[in-house]
Amino acid sequence: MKKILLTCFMLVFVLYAWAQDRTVGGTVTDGETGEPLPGVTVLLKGTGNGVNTDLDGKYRISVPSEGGTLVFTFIGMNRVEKEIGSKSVIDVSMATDVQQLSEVIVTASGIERESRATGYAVQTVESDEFLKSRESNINNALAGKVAGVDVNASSGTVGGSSRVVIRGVSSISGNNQPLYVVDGVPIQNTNIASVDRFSGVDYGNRAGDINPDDIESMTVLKGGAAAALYGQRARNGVIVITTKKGKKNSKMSVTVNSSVRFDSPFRLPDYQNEYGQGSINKLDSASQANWGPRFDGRSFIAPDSSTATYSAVPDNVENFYRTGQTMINSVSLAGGDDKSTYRFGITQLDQEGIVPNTAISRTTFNLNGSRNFDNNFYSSFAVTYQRSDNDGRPETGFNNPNAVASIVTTIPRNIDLDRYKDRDVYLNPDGSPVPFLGITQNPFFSLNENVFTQDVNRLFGYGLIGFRPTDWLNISWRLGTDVIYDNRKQIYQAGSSGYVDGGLWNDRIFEQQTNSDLLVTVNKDITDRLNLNLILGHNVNDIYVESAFDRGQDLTDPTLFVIQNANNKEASNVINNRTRIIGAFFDAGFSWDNYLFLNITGRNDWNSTLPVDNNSYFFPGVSGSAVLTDAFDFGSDLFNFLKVRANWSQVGGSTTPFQLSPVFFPQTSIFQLFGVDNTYPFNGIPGFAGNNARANAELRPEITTSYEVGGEFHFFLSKLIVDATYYVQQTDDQIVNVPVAPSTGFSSFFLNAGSIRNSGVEVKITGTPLELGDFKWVSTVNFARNVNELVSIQDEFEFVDVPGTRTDPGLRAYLGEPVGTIFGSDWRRDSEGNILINPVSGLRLSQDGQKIGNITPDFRLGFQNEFSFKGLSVSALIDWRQGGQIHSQTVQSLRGNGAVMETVEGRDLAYIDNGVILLDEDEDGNAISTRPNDIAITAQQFWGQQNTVDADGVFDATYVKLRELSASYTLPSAWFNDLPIGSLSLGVEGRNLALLYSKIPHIDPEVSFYGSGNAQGIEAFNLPTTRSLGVNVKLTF
Amino acid sequence: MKKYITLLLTGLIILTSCEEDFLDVNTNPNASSEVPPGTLLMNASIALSQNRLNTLNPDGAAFIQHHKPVVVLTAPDTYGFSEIGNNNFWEFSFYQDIIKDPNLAINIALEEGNNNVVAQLKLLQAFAWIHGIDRWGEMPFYQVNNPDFVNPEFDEGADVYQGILDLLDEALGLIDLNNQDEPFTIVTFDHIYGGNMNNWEAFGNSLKLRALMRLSYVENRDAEISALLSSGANFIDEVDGSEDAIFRYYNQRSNQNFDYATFDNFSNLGSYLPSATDRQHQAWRLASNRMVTLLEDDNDPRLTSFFVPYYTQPDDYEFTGAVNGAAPLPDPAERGFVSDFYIRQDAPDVWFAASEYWLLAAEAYQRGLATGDAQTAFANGTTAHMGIFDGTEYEIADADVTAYIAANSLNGKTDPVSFIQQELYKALYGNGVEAWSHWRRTKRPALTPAVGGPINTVISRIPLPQSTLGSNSNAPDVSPLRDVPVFFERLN
Repeated sequence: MKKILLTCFMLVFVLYAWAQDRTVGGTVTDGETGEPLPGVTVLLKGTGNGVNTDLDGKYRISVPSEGGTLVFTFIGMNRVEKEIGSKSVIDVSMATDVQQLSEVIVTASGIERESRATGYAVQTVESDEFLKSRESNINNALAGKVAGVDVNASSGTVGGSSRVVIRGVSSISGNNQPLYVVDGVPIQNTNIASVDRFSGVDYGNRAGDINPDDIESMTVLKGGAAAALYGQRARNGVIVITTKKGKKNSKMSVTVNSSVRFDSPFRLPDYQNEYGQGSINKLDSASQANWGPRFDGRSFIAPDSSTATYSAVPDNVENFYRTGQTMINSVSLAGGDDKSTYRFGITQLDQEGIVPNTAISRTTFNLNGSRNFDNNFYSSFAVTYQRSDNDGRPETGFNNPNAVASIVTTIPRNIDLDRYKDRDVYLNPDGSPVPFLGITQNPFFSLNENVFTQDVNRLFGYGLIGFRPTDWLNISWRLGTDVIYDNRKQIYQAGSSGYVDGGLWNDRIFEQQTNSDLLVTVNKDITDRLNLNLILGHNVNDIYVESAFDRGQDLTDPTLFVIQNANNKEASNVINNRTRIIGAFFDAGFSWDNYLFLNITGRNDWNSTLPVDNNSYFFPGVSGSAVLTDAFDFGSDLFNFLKVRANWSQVGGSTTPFQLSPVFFPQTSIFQLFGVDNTYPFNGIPGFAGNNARANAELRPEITTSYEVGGEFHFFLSKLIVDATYYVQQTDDQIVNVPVAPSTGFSSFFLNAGSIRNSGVEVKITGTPLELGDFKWVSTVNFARNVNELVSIQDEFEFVDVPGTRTDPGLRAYLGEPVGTIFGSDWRRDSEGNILINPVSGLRLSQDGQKIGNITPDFRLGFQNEFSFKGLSVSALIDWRQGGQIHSQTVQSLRGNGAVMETVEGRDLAYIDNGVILLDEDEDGNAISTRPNDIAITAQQFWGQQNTVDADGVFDATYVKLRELSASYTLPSAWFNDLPIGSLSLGVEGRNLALLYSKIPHIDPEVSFYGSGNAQGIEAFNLPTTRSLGVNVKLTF
Repeated sequence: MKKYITLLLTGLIILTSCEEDFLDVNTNPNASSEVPPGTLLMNASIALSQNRLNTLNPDGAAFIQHHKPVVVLTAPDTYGFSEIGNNNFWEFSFYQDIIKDPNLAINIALEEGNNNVVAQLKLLQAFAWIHGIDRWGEMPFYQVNNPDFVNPEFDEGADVYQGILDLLDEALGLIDLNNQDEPFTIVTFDHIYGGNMNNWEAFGNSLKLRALMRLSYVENRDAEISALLSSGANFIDEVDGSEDAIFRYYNQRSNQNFDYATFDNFSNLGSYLPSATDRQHQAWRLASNRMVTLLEDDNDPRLTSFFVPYYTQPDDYEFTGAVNGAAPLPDPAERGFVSDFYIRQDAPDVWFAASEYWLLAAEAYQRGLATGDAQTAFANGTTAHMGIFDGTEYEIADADVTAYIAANSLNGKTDPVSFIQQELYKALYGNGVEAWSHWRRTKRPALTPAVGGPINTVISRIPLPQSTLGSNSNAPDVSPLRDVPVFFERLN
């Protein structure tokens, strides 16, 4: 690593030397290996007098006769100071800087930069973190590890989506997720839904494809400044992923890594087991609710016409889920000589979900290499090919007989699901499905017969050629691409609800992103202390998404699920979206004596989605940092490294394609209440429709302005490190698709309207409370608090809908509030806050359109402890999310149908609800007169009414989770001296082990019904998230 | 080194200079900038028909007890409605598909001076407005789909009706019967009349009669009604139904009746008796007690055309009507079921039938709003309605029609106006949305409000969609509730 650092960073050659009284010399060695260190800077403190060590680590420097202090510095090593005194030989052993004070990080476009030189907050997660506790989705592995990064997994669906947001939501309707960059090339992170109105399948977001086994490090660039060079797409931060490479001058090594992991539902509802199927204390075998009589073991005719005993089946839901299993095996081969590197890796992932008959299998090939040529040219490339096969992906949602979780979660307590899982039970002899519990569909039929599939083929990578004609000029061109073919099929056997004669959906999605970066880097010492690093760049980016969606039903051959076999099919619904950006940018970096740094950046983008007159926009940035401990001599051991940093920057943003002019869309199908039958042409007549969103030919780019100040402070020889940042980020002129009164003829207008402001603090504290010999305990706390607010909006509006919700409750952004107000029905109250009661029924009165919560959390905190002793390492991560609210349809339904513990109490009693009876009201619905409530209702009515009002489903989403617990042991290499084994390590890992604290009953608060889009904080029969336990073996030859 | 820098800067300039064409990719390849107006008329028509068949008709029919829904979509039985469906109708179907899109088509047609096209589109819009204002009681009319108004003001029902009448006059004034060819007229893409402007004119005049009669208990429109009926204008008055405004459906799944689709798609869940495969009649819409009693009391032959007995019962079995609202159901075998004349794959969506014209005329004559023979008009209306079953297994013999008319001579009625209104209540069977409006206007026949609902009267209106209350600053803070009468209701 140090060799690489050497090539990457321009050394400060110190040329001043003047007549001195005497000379001092010595050898500088690496304290760990004992090998000499060439290129170490040796300075006479307080002067410009200095030299570098030679290839053998030796130096000789003139010093005053009275002595002084020598300062030894080298990238990646702790700074050493030695009193000269009267000595003439001073040998120095330098220790590796474990805290990586001077580590190189990768920022924009593959540009490497020393972390001390950055004027913005950066946090890196190394590969070990991804492997010691495996997640098949790398996004989830970031949870709790990086301050300011909010990770939210959607559900327990295999290959399900996961949302990452850095420093809060900055756009109401646009993308809020960071840009993912792999080896300098932006890749796609789409979460394209193939949904109908109330349900759908979580097909995952494409960043989840990234193979953890190939990752060397993930660097999170948080602010706009960190990303000015990527242009608008980096507004939400950048996750820079560097893949593993072969190392120069290393022998060929083979690494084998095998893991097996077992998944189970993380949290299932606390069911009651005292009452069963029925209503009003009457047993009803067709009921889906649990308001029947108390279990008494009587015989009754079960829904499948068999005679059953009326008693609880306590584990009926738990037994529906099986133990999920994931196997990940990878083999990689890497090495290099003095001019080339090479690495090839194969990873195979096989995962069976906790839901029966759902599985995914993913194979990843990764190949990369580099070569330096004799004529100053160099080149490198990397290519990753992936194939994911997904057999069985459950439909989620509700109001949909095919969505299993909604049926299973609220299954009556006396139904033994095991009895219904066999084919000859859920199918009639003629092959048609047997209706299940009245009028729904057997979940086993749904899962085993209507098997949804997804096949994703993906190729991404880059090629780079570079030319380094002199030591100060470097020209490189990197061309990268990411190509995805995603083929999804949803099949419905004849007899499925809504598909009497069978049907299918087929969605073929093609995505491509091509990116070209031409960089010219000039690195010159202007004076002996001042260095200039100037980057001139040109960038072309092209994103293309094509989707062809076919839907058909009424199959001639009921077993053939191809669109040609459908007698009723609509024409393919085709989308072809293309966005292009051209950018030109510069980054002028100045460093003074390697402790004072200043960067000035600027970028102009030309964007295809904006009107020609407004499609060119420039955005500047400036950042600076100072390493105070190098600048001044504090003369104290309290702190050994102090760095302060600050930056200000702007980033411009655009919109989605085709929003500028009104058009007519050819219609294919015709919306109807259930299913889709009618298609165009109708009686030979075609149909067209205009835009729902009013086009706007005068859109301007939106502008995000941000600044941050922060610092990195190391105390007690880096035993305590505090990295803190305060930032403010405001996006103005937001391009928003503002919902308007439909009587305008439109659902929404595209407008430049509104500003969102995020401000917050991020703190990372790393401490080493105990270090005794080989034993070491390192504690890390990541804390982030973000305050989000919609600070302005166009005059005629009071709020903007957050798009993406399909039914009540919805999400909105209100002026002066954090984006994400939950909006739905609530109980009516009098002026004193008493709930108003209907004078006839004794039930509560409700009203629509109320603010009932907000999804925005107060802060997030990750707390990691790692204990290591020789080859043994144990670590635990606790993840705490404070505040914010979530709406749970599941909790409301479970209560409404009497399935859970809290509904047991008071079933035999009449209940008089808290509240007052409404006697008279004014025109606006304000209570004029009331009287105390004296009308008794039943427990069934009480819990039934809470299911009708959205406010009763809103809960505090605070949680504390034991996110990770892992132990690994690297066997002493001495054991393998006679074997061809380089190293062997073993690990056990657990993820999502315990919910230590939560205010919401029955469900995991960390879920999202609508996937990874902006519509968060809404839960509705999500599949349970998973708890995982696994073991891992890593072997290097 | 200077030459490198020069070379590079030149390169950057060259790379950036070809951006104009490179960036010119912002035109949607899958959309048109101009289309034939008929394609927008088609989409607006089908959007309206879909809402009528899936929501407005079944809901209206349940509200006024034409039938009783069980198992699915039972909310309207106790005056419930779907908030999502209500919003979808307002936001997507009504103001976008039916108002905005035809407006775009009208602009295209006006540019080319194709006046019949404009008339066809405006007649459709006028027809649709009646659905809107009857449902919600108040809604934006005069400021809609106008770029000057971001928050269109709500208009009172009476003002909207005046607007509808003006719109109808405007459309009728544009019709040129001497040029019924493309492109002056939408012909091949006209699913209602195939470009027959005489029929469009009849539809327009008939809608005028409907609108004026709607106002007849709350405003004095006698002169206009009289003038209209005596003008010799062209109405939908052919008793054989050949002029009826209907949206046709076909015996194929891609062009089938939307209401039928609900039953067909759920046949495996018991929407048919005895079974999905051996279907004999649907199971989810029962004969209502109110309609059965009414028909029985009148000895009306339509009883067995509207309803069929349980499949195991003989054809002449006397089924029992189910009481709307919370009430015990008759035993399955004793129930009557809405016949498959109404719930079938190719059942047409009837927008305006000759029976309605004749029965409205009969009422006008009987009430003295205009001069004419009420008895003849009643007879024509009855003949026209009983004739719709001709050629089906529900056909009513001519002798029975004649006998019914003879037995119900208006002269013999103590309250002939109420009787005529009651006859239209029957003739609007299957057109639930218009039947609900007609009942609110006339309050005939008397209905007992369904028990178990949130209100103690028959529902008067559907509340404004929550979404528009929030998104339009000119909307009322709260919607009038569903028991607040709409402006045209007769209150006694």
